[in-house]
Amino acid sequence: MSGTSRVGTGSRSIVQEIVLVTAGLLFAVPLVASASFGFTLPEQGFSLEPMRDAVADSGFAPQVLQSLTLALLTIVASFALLIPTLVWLHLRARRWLPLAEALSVIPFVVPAVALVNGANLAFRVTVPGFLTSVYSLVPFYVILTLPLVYRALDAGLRAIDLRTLCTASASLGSGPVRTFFSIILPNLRPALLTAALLSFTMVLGEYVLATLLLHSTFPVFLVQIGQDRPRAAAGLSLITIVGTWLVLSALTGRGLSRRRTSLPYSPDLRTAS
Amino acid sequence: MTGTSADVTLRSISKSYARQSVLNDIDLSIRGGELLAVLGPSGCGKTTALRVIAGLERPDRGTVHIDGGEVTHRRIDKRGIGIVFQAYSLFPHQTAAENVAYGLRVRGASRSRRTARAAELLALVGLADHGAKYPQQLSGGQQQRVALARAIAIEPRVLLLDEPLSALDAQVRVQLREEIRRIQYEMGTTTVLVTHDQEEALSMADRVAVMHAGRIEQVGTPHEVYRRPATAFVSSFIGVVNRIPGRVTGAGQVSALAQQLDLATAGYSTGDLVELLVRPEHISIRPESDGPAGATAIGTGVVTALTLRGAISSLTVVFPGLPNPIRVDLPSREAQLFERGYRVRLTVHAEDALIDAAAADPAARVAA
Repeated sequence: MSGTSRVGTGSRSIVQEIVLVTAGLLFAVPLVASASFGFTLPEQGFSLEPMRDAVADSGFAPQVLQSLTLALLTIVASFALLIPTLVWLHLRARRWLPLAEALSVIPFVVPAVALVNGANLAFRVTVPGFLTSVYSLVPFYVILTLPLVYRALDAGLRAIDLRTLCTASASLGSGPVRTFFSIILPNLRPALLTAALLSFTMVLGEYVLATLLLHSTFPVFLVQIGQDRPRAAAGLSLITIVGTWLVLSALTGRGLSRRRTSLPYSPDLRTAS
Repeated sequence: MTGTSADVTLRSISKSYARQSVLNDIDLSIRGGELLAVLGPSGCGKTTALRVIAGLERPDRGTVHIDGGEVTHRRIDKRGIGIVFQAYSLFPHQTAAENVAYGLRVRGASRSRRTARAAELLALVGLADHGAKYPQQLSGGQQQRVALARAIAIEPRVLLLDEPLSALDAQVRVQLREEIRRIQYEMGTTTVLVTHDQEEALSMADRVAVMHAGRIEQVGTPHEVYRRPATAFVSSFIGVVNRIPGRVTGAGQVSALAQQLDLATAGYSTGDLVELLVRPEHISIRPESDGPAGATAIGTGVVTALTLRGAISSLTVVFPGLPNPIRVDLPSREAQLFERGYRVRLTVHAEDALIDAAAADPAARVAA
């Protein structure tokens, strides 16, 4: 019986390893290929020349700055919209949470083309100048990132006893605004970080909406230079991915380490009263 | 160290949820400086009553007064109350000292004042060396001590304790119970303790309010509610009670186990089936061979078990025709005189007994 169990465990472990290795290869091979293609030149080997060429392009700095600004504005707008809404739902209308969660995934099922066409029809008539500004992308990005931001924040709020913390804060004389900023937001820090990073990553890689609305952002720039300078595009893409990943790791690690400082449960303290 | 000692009064408070009445015309006066325990089973409305005092629930009818002033519609942060919750409620991102100082910070106290006060209160609850620790680094008992220090840091007019010990293990619970009582006594803060634990209520409170089905059944000192229960519910909810079937045979007369007893029968008519409620320690026992029974003797039975409970022992006595045995408590030294199989006579002290309407199902007549 135990032998059978060990055989079962062993085969499960092998399957797990195969899945892990396969997934790792699927993730790593394109990156290695990009690195190999983007940082080499024929008959010359490793070279940063294509990168220098791309960075020197007059469109590079403005597009990067534009995308970073758009990412920042998207994060701010998402938080401004979703944090108060979710806090209110968790505190006052928990029965509506399943509906809100269902609504939050709608952006996943609405194609970007449909979204832009609808927006075109609506805004070109009502607010003609709106779509001409690059910042008109922000509301679309808020919608695009909604499912991810919603889930990150919702998970964060579920992880704390929000109602008790708010009541405790109120009983100590704190009004709703102070409670929000002094108690709720600090305890949501890991969720806020996760949500911000997911938004940041998504906006930095978003191409379809920007192209359809005729705006030039960093991903559009990447595609454009990829048409005549494919090595530079590959190198820049790789740097963007790795850079974002490093920022994510650093921020997440910092967030987690802050939490970790308060997590260990000293056994000698547990028994003490 | 002294705190404020405000009177709290609930007048005709009613509260319903989805047409289900949770509080039903509650009147309660809590004297300044006393610790009043609101005791009752789950769902009796005790936590709702506390939430009404706190301002977390608005009553459908009635008014709440603190120190003579009506606060029924005043927000929780404007009532001057401190609360310790059943759930651990410390702010996870703040150290113990920061938690204690939070209320003072809200009130604009200087940093030095906050630091000094937090240190003073942490010392008061026995956690002087734990100020720099985060809640997750503290045990449950320590967290509740910090929560208590945090609640009293703002010198509340009323301190509300919502089953603060129920999540703790038995040993810590007993220890913390004594400490809360000591601190409350030192501070002199009017305190309302909500609990379903009768031992906790009886050992900590100056007075106990027993609640049942949204009503207050009795308010009295622990001694009064235990020794002189006002209703059958109080009698059966607090402590152990024997339920002995009987019948009202006339004004002030109850027949139980073929004996006539002189008992108050107000509210019952001759012929009503009743149950005699009597605590195990309110029954005298003696060997049958000692002679005839007195006026309140309920008959002769056989000892079937003897259980040592430390200073006292419990005898289980079976009567022919009675569905459940009767428990009799007496000092262990006296209990040694009895053995299994002994025939004994029991005598009820009529002044300690109550009668209750008989349960419809005889099987429900179980000694609590």
